[in-house]
Amino acid sequence: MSRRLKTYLRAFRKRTGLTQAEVAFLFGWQGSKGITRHEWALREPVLRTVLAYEVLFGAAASELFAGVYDEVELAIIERAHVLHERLEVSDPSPQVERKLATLRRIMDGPGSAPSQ
Amino acid sequence: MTQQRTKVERIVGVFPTTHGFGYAIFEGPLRLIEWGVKHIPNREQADNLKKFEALLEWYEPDLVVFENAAGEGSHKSKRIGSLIRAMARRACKCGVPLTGYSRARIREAFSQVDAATKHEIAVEIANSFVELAPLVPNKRKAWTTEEARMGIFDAASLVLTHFHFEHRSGEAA
Repeated sequence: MSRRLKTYLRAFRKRTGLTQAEVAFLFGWQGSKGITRHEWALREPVLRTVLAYEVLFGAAASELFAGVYDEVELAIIERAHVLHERLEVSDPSPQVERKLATLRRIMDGPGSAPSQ
Repeated sequence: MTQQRTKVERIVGVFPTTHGFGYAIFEGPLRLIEWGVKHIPNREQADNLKKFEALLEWYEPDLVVFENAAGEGSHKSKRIGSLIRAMARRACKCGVPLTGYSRARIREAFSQVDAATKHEIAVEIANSFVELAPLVPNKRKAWTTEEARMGIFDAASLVLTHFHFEHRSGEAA
């Protein structure tokens, strides 16, 4: 089994039938070089462009940039373990318990319900 | 849990043609993530291999599927047969496992949906993957040459044949 690709922008764009130049036009850009760089993961898009891709392809950023999402998620989970260990030895309080519940949700991975 | 979700089985189908090669890349039998034709105007094997290796480097597949040129029902020219062997060697060098299916095996897999000819198989694939629908070539006349984009459907049919037989062997086990 392989890791997911950093980005699936190219697949999503090709499914729509749009060319890179047409996507660039929809974004209000002069050229399509930026689109090429995003599709081949040579450059990470800024927030507004990520949202523009979401609008265009009707898919969440976590799907469009699946591999990047996985990297970010893994890093957060690793740090959540560290913070969880630190908080566990601190004085118990309702606020600490709330934080621990949040961290456990993160460590359990995707699909786990957010703490109330 | 996270590990399972973030891992995918990525399979590349490659189908060398007269002017380059068609390819189709899947992540599971229902998810086509890339397809196209690499045009090599000078027909140089080295140029074909360069483009093929670039595909392997970017997509890091778990498996490459070729047509078994020596298999039943497969009729390949010496040049194409040699190119398939060279691509297979290159895949091995890159550490990517490979497998092959003969034309007879492809027909067997697609007989489930009553598709026997290359054109019928292409139409069947386009029905399942609507993004490929605009690319289905017109039905070829006996005196016309095959359109290069048929290579995409040939490549896709190889991967889908692999999934078909893999699924069947899984059921039998």
